[in-house]
Amino acid sequence: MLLSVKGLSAHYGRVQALSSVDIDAPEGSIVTLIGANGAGKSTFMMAVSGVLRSISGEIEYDGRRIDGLPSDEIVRLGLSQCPEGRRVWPGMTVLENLEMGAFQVGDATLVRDRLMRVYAHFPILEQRSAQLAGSLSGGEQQMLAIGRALMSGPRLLMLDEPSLGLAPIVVEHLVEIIREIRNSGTTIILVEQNAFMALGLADAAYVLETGRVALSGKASELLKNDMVRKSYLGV
Amino acid sequence: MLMVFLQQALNGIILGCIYALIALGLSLIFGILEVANFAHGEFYMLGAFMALFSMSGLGVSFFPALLIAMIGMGIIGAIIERAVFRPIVGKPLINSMLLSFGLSTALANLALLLFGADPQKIESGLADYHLRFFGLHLTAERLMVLVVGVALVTLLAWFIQSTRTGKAMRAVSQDRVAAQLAGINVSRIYTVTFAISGALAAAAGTMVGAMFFVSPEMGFSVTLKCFIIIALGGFGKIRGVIVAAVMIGLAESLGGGFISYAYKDAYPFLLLVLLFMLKPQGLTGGSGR
Ligand SMILES: Nc1ncnc2c1ncn2[C@@H]1O[C@H](COP(=O)(O)OP(=O)(O)OP(=O)(O)O)[C@@H](O)[C@H]1O
Ligand SMILES: [Mg+2]
Repeated sequence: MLLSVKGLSAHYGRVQALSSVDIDAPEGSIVTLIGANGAGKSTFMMAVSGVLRSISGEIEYDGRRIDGLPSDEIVRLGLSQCPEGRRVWPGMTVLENLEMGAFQVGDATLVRDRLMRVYAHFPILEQRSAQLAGSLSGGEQQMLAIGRALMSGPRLLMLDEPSLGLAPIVVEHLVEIIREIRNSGTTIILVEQNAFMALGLADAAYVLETGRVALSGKASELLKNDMVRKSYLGV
Repeated sequence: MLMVFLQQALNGIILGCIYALIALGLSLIFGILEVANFAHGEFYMLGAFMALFSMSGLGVSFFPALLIAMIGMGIIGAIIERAVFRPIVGKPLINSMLLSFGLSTALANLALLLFGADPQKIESGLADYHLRFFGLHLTAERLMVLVVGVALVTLLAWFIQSTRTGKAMRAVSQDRVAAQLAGINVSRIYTVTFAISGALAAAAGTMVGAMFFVSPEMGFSVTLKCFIIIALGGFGKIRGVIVAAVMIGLAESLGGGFISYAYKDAYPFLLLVLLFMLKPQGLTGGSGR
């Protein structure tokens, strides 16, 4: 198990956003979290990344506890997150955004290699490299956010609604890229509004309801589950 | 008349350089930690005393004293960030306003107790050399202030624009959570920001101590003026802050020369009111840094 979360609870002030959640991500797999708005998916990712500090429970990554570690330490261990809503730095150029994604990487040739790989995935970013990120279109910013998360060279990549705002053709392309990233050995946790796409891609899936795991299993089995079909696939 | 105007304008630009050094630090702190540091003028005051005592106590000359003051206030700035401001980062602005106001009073009174109220002068040894050109008059000391001021501002702009740490500072100010997720140690950026701001304030204090004098209460009016400058310049925009600092320097110098010197501290406030009426979006408008 690359990531193993046990009994994770999280709260914002008095609002309980996660209650005793257990989620596992085996090395090399794609795991998806699905759930309605406010179910706690983003909260889960922020807790694992060490940004949200008011948590309890155990988060084990690569055999060691990481709950309580500072966020930069967690990135150094190989966990990276592309957050919901893009959050690129609008006043910095595309290139600077990508460079900062590799903030912890000391080796300049490694940064160069990764940059080339990101440009290969998203050629538009290379064309726009000198432009301020704030002047990109929404879809371009989403590509930049994904590219930035890849720059640290993660072993575990968490993508929070990466397809948001992308045109259908680009979403297809994104699916290919996610597969490619996984095939190159990176484990992926994926949150998606598009549950069809997510379940099609993933090996395992968890359904979150108001901060609890309501259902979990193989993605292919959840695709056939009546409750999932009714609530999340609309069929 | 024209000569007087140009002479006052020159003095105003020199004053503007001093203000830019202090206001840029204040603006960095405001943009990156999102706290208001009302004790910033005291950083400037303590820096000036540090230079003064380096010269009188250690017997060093002016430029080494300037360097000692900058390093010393850099360290003190970093300590104050960790001890005083770190616990209230992320809390509503009123917390840092009250806390830093208290810190300002405490530091000024401590200085009064330790160093006495009498104004003292830092001898740069450059005040007796006079330069004349096109009928204007400038002491070598003021020229030095101009050169050092412009050099430090340029260095800061380069640092923030081009270095890894400078880019991380911009990233933190634009989106702190995204900076955390990129693996930037945000706490360390906070400390660096205070160290840089403290060093710049110390440089300004030392140079003012040479041109005018050093005293425990010298920081009060400067803090307010620098808040005006960062409000005018557009919060967090380096270029805007520099332009606003020079404008305030000019307003003070020209107002003092042509209207009345007695109101010199009031002109910046008048300028602020005027600008908010005419250009509510700030000097540089919406975009830019
Ligand atoms: N900063 C915050 N302060 C207070 N409550 C919050 C905060 N962020 C999230 N919440 C609450 O926590 C709960 C879980 O939110 P979360 O963002 O994790 O949901 P989500 O599953 O990602 O939803 P979505 O699909 O809309 O992105 C919600 O009830 C939300 O209102
Ligand atoms: Mg979410």
